[in-house]
Order: sequence, then structure tokens, then C-alpha cells
Amino acid sequence: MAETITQAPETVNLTIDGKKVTVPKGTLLITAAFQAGADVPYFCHHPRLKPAGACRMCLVRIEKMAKLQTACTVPVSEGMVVDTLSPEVKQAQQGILEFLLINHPLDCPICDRGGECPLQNMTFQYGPGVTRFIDEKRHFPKPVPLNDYVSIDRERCIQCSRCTRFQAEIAGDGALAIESRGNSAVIAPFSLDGFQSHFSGNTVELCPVGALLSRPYRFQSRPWEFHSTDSVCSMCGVGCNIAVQTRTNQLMRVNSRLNEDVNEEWTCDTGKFEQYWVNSEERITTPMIRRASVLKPCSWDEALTAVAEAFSSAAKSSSNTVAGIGSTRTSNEEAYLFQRIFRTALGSNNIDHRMHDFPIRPMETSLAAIGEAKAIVAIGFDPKQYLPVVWLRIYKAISNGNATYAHVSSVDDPAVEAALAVGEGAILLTDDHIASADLDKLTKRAKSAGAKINVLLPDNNSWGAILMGVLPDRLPSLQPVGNGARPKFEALWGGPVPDKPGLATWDILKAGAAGDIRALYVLGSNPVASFPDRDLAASALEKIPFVVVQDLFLSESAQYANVFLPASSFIEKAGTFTNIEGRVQPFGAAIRPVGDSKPDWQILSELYARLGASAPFFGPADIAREIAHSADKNTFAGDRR
Amino acid sequence: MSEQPQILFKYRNVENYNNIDVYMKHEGYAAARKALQMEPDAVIEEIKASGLRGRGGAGFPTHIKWNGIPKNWDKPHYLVINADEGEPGTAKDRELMNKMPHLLVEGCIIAARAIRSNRCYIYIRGEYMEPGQSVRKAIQEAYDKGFLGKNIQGSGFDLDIHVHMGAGSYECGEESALMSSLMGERGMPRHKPPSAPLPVISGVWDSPTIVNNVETVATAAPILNMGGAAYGKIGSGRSLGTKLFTVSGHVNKPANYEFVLGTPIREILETAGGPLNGKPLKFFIPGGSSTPLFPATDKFLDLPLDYETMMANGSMLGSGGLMFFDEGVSVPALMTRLMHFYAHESCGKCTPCREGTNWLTKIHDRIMAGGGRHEDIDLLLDICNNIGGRSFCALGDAAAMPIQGALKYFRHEYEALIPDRSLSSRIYAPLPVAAG
Amino acid sequence: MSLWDDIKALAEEVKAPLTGLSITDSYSRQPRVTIQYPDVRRPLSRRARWRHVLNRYENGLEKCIGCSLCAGACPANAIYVKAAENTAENRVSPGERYAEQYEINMIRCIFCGYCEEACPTQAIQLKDIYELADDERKDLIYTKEMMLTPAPEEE
Repeated sequence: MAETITQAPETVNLTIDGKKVTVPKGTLLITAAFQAGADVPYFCHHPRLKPAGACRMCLVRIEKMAKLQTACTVPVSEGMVVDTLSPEVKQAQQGILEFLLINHPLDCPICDRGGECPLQNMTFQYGPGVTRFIDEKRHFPKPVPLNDYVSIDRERCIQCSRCTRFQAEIAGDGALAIESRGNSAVIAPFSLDGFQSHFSGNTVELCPVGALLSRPYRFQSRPWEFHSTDSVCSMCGVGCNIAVQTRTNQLMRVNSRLNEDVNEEWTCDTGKFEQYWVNSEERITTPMIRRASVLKPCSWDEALTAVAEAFSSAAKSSSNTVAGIGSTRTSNEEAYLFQRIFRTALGSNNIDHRMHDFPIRPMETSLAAIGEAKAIVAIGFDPKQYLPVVWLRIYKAISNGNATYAHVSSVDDPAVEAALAVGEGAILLTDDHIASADLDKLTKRAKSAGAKINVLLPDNNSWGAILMGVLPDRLPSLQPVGNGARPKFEALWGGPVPDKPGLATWDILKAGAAGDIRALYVLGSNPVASFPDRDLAASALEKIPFVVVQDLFLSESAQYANVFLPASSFIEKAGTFTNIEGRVQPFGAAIRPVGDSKPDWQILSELYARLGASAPFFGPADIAREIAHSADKNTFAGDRR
Repeated sequence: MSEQPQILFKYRNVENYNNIDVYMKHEGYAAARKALQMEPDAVIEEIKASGLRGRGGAGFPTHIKWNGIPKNWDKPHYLVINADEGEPGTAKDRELMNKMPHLLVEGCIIAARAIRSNRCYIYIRGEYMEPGQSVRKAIQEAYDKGFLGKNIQGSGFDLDIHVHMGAGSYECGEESALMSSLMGERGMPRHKPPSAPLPVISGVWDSPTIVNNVETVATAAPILNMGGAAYGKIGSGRSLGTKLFTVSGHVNKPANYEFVLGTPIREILETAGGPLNGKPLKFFIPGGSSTPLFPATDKFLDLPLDYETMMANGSMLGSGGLMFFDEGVSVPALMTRLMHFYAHESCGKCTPCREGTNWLTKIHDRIMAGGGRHEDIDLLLDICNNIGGRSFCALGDAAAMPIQGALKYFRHEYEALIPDRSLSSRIYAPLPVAAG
Repeated sequence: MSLWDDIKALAEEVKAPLTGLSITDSYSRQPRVTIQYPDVRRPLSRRARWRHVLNRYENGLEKCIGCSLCAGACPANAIYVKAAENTAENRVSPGERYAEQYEINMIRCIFCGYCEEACPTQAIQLKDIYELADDERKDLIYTKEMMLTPAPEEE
């Protein structure tokens, strides 16, 4: 009984179905069984959640033990002999499945999980073929919405507690709980205001039956009908790996995709449920040109020719009279092409993407390292709201490593001091709104303490726009326009590149309002709505004689456009995004461009041809190849920084 | 009829025995004083000599449990008293706590001393308002007399006892679910070996914890008073000492009685006044509703009531809730009531218990309503087999065992309830049951 | 050559077509195998698999629940189903789900009947409606409205 502390071996040898396996000490038996090639069915087990042993589906026979044991809870021990195939085990599995099915409604044909449902699969593989249950099944009102994104069908629930464990152990909010007990136990939101979590969508993917369901996806498609494309989330700078699932050229669903370094297997609700704007009816899908002060549909040729003429005549008079405002949401290829057109065809450095000035600084640690930190302080922003998946890393550090965490508004907060006292292993997180004086102060203190600072940028390709040179004073790879890197780019691009820094966004808008800009290219951004001084932005766009807006929607800025170029969303094109830690991640085209819209790179490439490019780019891969040539390894390495 | 030594119930009839002054006049707190002067291991030795086994149902030797607490471990140790007496047919702990709460408090001091614990929790069943108040009052009196708190009686030993009232769940009488509930979590069982260490290594708040039944701990005081060896002379074999039995049902004097382990059931029945109104008995349940029943034949009435004999005959001593039923009782009706109880009390964590108890209930309801089919009886047995040994904790087994017992001896009563022209059996095919 | 010979020759010449005509005549007395389509229609086998019909329950609710199993079973990929949710105001089928759009591309369909096999509610049935010819491709995409049996109140 008394535990003797012995020097434990690092690995354990055991026999599963007559096959010898060696696994690290502490491994759960089910993991070892998978390694041995044994097929153990399960519902409540999940490698990232703590063992529950609730569903009892993974019962196996372990020699010298009186009862069948659940493989998902038992840690392996030396010399264990396990049988997963005996008739006794098979009969137990059948018995458990029969129990699970007595109250499970047989509405698979209309269930959104039908076709990708673990319970369905297990029943086919292990279940009894017929039911012996002739009594009335359990009934609940259904489906009950839990929040804007998730609804629950309680009749289908098998109480595996994956969702409640996810919310408690991974999301850290305990937003779901089990209410009541026994056969009337139901999953319910802990809070009276419903399922309050930024991560509720993950429970839909975790649910082994069709109990927790996505509301936007409800009845949209069956799993065998859509096409799944590997993509990268466009909603924030974390760059979660997602699978975009599409049918009839429309987005049906967003699921997470495994990437241990970025999002593990999670997404936030914004990424999973807030990307249906790509299906919006309000998208503009034909080019438009202003005639008699009204935007009228026109052909692509008409629109692009008008843009090319306006810009080349303005640039001919003075290259200072043209300007471009790029975006943090276009792909690397598009950002690169945009600045190349301005710098070579128009000879101007008046190109920027920032809406306010912020310190440009790469993250000092990887995202994964946040999960292993000892002390974390978020200064001036709430990671849960702003970059939700970063919060999952923070909570991992809190729950696994007992890290301290504080979310404060000022760099002078005592919590910052307390974190710095931890020294090595302390990570300070801040966003792009930190004053550079504060950041300098913080840097000095962090350096002496051995702590790391991560400045987290908000948008999905903020860091890509910076590295691709959509800045008035920097060429790609953060090379200053004035120094020795310029000749290299001049040779690559086949023309002179201006050596004086151009105008930043705020200077472009000031010059525009003063009447000094003759042609402005707004690519994917919306200065009238997102520039802090909206009046300045509006009066500048009003004053500038020729404004071209390239976007998906008729934005506030598009009200001032002379030409509107309809672009395609990120799921309609291929490309790469660079996330906050500088990781370049590719995404594929899931659907055809909607209507007459075109991907940004294609619009830019066609415009470039009209502005006299020697050879146009025929695809994002063409552009990526050139970026790989021009950039140093640190900016476009493909994977880790 | 042999003379039964009264150990726990020695002063049962003393007026105001729940008052500390009266209690101290009757050997009260002498054992605690003795224990405080002994080395902790010596206390355990004394218990070992007495052969005391857990009185909650499982019958695990108490000294082994107490010895399991790691010595010289800097984590706090906890003593948790399981006073969540929820087993239908059992009310012994209620009387102990109501009438002789100081016996429990004194037992806690001894047990805490033995396992070097400075904190004790008494988890009392939510419905036990009166025993709860009684124990609280006794604890307060003990504090006032200096038997609890810091530096008890100048021994340098500290002990605080807290009373925690449950919220009305049978499941929380299971020791690991009790610990969950005590910590403020959902009253659901926790992992046990081989999935997790025993509570003596990692119990409440991941610290070494001993969970003992009220009666087990209360017995510690008389054992120290009379000496472990003397206590060990009572009874025979491995079932030593006396035990409280709650005798209920169709007897003339239903009450709690103290008997030496191994007393024949017939003697207990006679002590309790024999069958009610002399009506012949039909069957009895030896250890609370979770244990399989026995027919009231001479063969079973002559069995000695102890851990081993009950086990050997396919039932259990359990918590000592002895229930007698006369010929007016229908076994299927009783089982239907029991199944409603277990389905209601299943915590819902694991599949076999949650769904199985519910299914058993539905089949029983249907049979009682005249909708039974002949195959339902085998189906009941098969469901019991599918629950037994596969549920997370013992509640599933507890629900399955009574039915297995009932069908073993009273299958004909079920069959009598099934109409001749029952539903077609074609819609159901039995699960292939694995050989061996 | 005598006259008799001439008469015999003539008789031979007359006989040959008469012999032929007598065969024709004998066949004309046999029962006819052709029918006067489209005025007359041949009865079809009870199991004939022609155009699909979407059935209703007696109370007028559609049997189709929009589960797409027919589309999944279709080897020619000829079926498109778009489902939607029943509401209290707009109840189309029993339960939660109904087919908002249901289309079968009759050019692709090979009339194998797998859709009928797959259907969990016996909503789709291949019946004996075989006049499917058309001269416009897009008209051969049959919509739900075209295949649905008339609702009782519409009769």
C-alpha cells in the first residue's frame, strides 16, 4: 500500500494483443494500444483533455486485474499484458454501445453530424445490429440555442463530458457544465446568460455525436457533399490553420486544422463562425466606374485602362502625386506586387498600410513558448478578445505550469514588476497601441531581467505587409529604401527605385486634403472608417481627383472612388499569410472567384501590364518565387522564423 | 440465545449521553487521552490487534488503510468521515450521531492521531439535519473542554473538525464522489487504482486522505478503552468484533441492534421480535438494498452474518441494513421501487450505470404494468451483466446485484407477471454472449 | 406457244402476287403488336423505374426530409438537395428538416433507383412517367415542384 519511491525507468515495456511495445512512462494505455496497432474504440477520451473514463467504451482486459479496465485512464506499467480482442472485450464493447444507443435518437439522416459521427462509426464497427430496447426514449426540447453560434440537441448527448472538460481545461472558462444527474443529466451553460466563451465552436468539433451543433452550418450540407481546402484563418494575426469547407461555390463551414506550433487543433469563434461574409449578397462582383457622379458597372478592361491612364499621367507630372494605401489583409504576394508596381512603374515610395504609427518589432518568442512561460502579463489589451488563440497558450501556461498571469492597462502596473522578478521565462505581451516610449522603457527592464516582450499585431497579414515592404521607407525584408539593398531590387525589378522615403498614410491623407495628391490607390483598406482621424481621411478622399478602391464591399472609402475594382476573398485565391510570429503559411483556393470579381494579385498583375510591365505574373506562385529570390531567409522562410 | 456484548451501544440507554459531561462520566474521552499519549503507530497497532474492518460496506481492514498514509510527508493529511448514510435500509450511523455523537468525535481524535492528521471533515448526509446538529453541538462541546483545537490536553497535537452537510445524493456516499463533493466539485466518483493512486496517497486536494465510515471510527474509542486484543477476541475468523445492524421490515421490533459478527441471522430476527404478527417471512436482504436477497428458508436463516459467509453465499454484509419481508411482498414490485431509486441516484458519469439503471427501471415499469415479454427476464439479466463490473464506481454494481439475486430465487414471480400473449419476440434478438 | 400456254403463263403471273398477298392477309388476321401511341399506351410493369416522384403524407406534409442520402447514393451525381429548417409558421415536412431545393438532372440520371433505396422516409419513388424528352438542356433539370405529388388541398 505504501508507495515506495524507486528510481523509475524512463520507458515501459508491455504486451498488447501479443505485440510488444515500448512507450514512455506515464503513457495512457489507449495511446500505447494505438501505437501497437490495436483498435480501441472510445468517445470520451481526447489526448489533450484529462482522462474521464466516462463512456466506458475502451474497456480492455489487463492480466491480473479483476475487472475490465478503461484503457483511456490506466497508465501503462512494466510488464502489463493487455488483450483488446477477446470475445469478452468485444461483448463489453457491444454492451456499452447498446447502452449508449438506447436513448440516442435514430435521426442520423437529418443530423448534421451524420456521416462524420464517431458514434455512427463505432456502431457500424462494434455495435449490435439490432436493438432490444422497446420502451420510450428520453425526450428533451431540441435544438436549444446556447449562444449565437452553438445549439444543443440534448437527446443525442452521450454525456462524454468532452465539451465541459474542454471549457474547463483548455479554454479556462468552465462555460459549460453538467446539470442534474443520472439519466436526466444535461449539458448546460454555466452562466445564466448562455454559453459565454470565445471558444464555443471547438466543442462542436469535439462532440462525438450531433449534440453540440454549429448554428450557421445547420442543415447547410452533409459531410460527404462539401469540398475541404487547407487554408489559414483571415480574422486575426495568429494565423490558425483551418479547413475551409465549401459547396456550390459557397463557404459552408470552417473547421480547425492541426498545427502544433500555431493553434494546436483549436480555433476561436470568430475564426470558425465569423467568416461567412465571403458568401454575402452585398459583395460587389463587377467593376464600377464613376460616370456623372454615379458608380456604374463597366468591363474590367474599361476600369483597368482608366486606372492605368490616371496613374501614369499623374506619375508623369510628378511621382509624388500618386499614392497607395495597402492593407493588412491581402496576401504576401499581393502586398509585394502592390509595392513593386508603385516603386517601379510609378516611381513612388508613397505607399503604406498602417493606420497609425506603431513600433515594428518581431516577436521575441514563438507562440508555443507562451504556453511554457512562468509569468505572463498582457499590457494594454485583453488577449482573449483580441487574439483569442493566444489566450489558449496563456491558459496552458497557467494550468500546466502554474504560471502567473495578469492583464493590466499600464506598463507601470505592479504586476509587470512581479513578472519581471521571475526573470527568465517571463513573457510580456503587448499590442500595437503601446507608446514607443513605454516600449523602450519596458525593453530596458525586460532585457536586464531576462524576460521577453512580444508585440502582437492585430490583422492576419500585418506582419506580411511589413515584410513585403508596404511601407514608405522600407523595401521588402525591412531594407531601408536609401541603403545598399536598393540596387539589388533595381536589378531584380528592372528599373530604378526611388531612394527617398515616401509619405506614410497620415502624410498621404494630409497631402491629399491639401490637394497635392492626384491619384490614390486604396487596396483592401478603408481609411475613411479605420483611420483615427476620419474627417481628414474623408476630406482627403473627397479632394483627390482620382481614387481607385479595390475591395469586396462598397466600403465607406468606396463612396469616394472613381473606379471600384471588385476583389475576391481569401478563400477564392491561393497565397501565403505571415502570422504574428513571422510564420509564412500557405492557403489554397477553395472556390472560384464570385461573379466577375478577381483575386487582388490578378487585378494588380493586369494593371501592371497596362502600366508597362515587361512580363505579367500569371499566378501567386510566380510572385512567391520572386519574393523568395529577393527576400532574405528570415522573412520568407516558409515555416519557422 | 447467546449474550451479545454491547460495545458501541454500551451506554445507549444513559440519559443525555450526547452531553459531554454525561459522556465523560461513562469512560468518555479516556480513549482519546490514551491515544494522545501514545505514538501514532502504536494506535494503529492497537487497531490491528482488534482486527477492525471498515463498517461502511466493503470491509477493508482499517489498520492497513491507516498504515497506508505516507509517513514523513510534508503535505497535509486529511481524515474524512463518511456520514453520508444513504443505503436504503440502513440507519445505524444516524443513531450513533444522534445519541452518541461524542463517540464519533472521540473516534476522530484517535484516528487523526493515528494518521497524523490535523484536519478532519465529517461529511453528513444532507437529509440528516438532526444528526448534523447533534454532531456540531458535540464538536463545540469538545472544543470547549479542550479536546479539539490547538495543543489538545497539552499533548502538542492539533485537530480541527469540520462538519460538511451533503446536498442529497446517494452517490456521495461513495468515498471518491464524497471527496469530490467535499471539495466543491460535482458529486461524481474519481479515478481509482489502477488509473490513479489511492486516496491514502492522493485524496482530497491531492493530499493523503483517509475516508472512514462513522461506525468504524466510533469503534476506535471502545477498542482503545478495552484494548485491541480484547476486542479481537470477540467474533471469529476474520470477522471480529461487533457491528451495528439496522433491522427493519416485517419484524415486531425494528431498530438498530449491536451483534457480534457471525451471529446467526435467526438470532437477530428473534432479538428483533420475530416476524411481524407471526406472518411467515418470504425473503430478506442481508446488508442494505444493494446486496442480493436471500429467501427466508432455514438454510439462509441459519447462516452466520459476517463478511465471509455472506460473500460465499452470493451476497454481502454491506452496511448492515437487514430487511425482512413477509409473504405479502412482491419481489418484482420491490425491485421496481429499488430500480427507481438507483436510476434517480445514478450520477450520470458513466454509460452503464446511467443508461443501464434507466433501462432496468423502464423494463420493470413495463412488466408491472402488464406489458412484459418473456424475453424481458433474460434481458434484465443481460443488462445486469453488462452493468456489473463495467461501471465507473460501485453504484452500477449496486443496482445490478439485487436484480441478479431476485431473479436467482424469485424468477417465477416475474414470469407470473408476464401475460401469456406477450409482445412478439421477433423484434428482438439477444446479444451474442461471449463464451468464457 | 399456244394460247393455252399463254393462259397458263398468265395464271402463274397472277398466282404469284396472290400467294404473296395471301401471306399478308394471313398476317393481317393475326393480333396486332403495335399500338397507336400516344392515343393508346401500353401498361408498364409495376416495378418500372422512370421519372422520380416526391411523395407526401396523407396530411399533405412532404415525406422528404432533405437528408441528401439520395444524392449520396446517386452513382451519376445527378441529385442536388439544399435543406432548410421547418418552423412553426412554415412546416413543410415532419421533424426538423426539409428540402428547400431538390433537383434531379434527368440527362445524368441512369434510373438505377438507388435514390429510392437510400431514402429513409420513402419520399422518392421512381414511377412510370417515361415521357421525358425535351429539346432544352436546362429544362431537363427537374425541380422539386415538378416532381412533388400535388398537395391534397391543391387538388
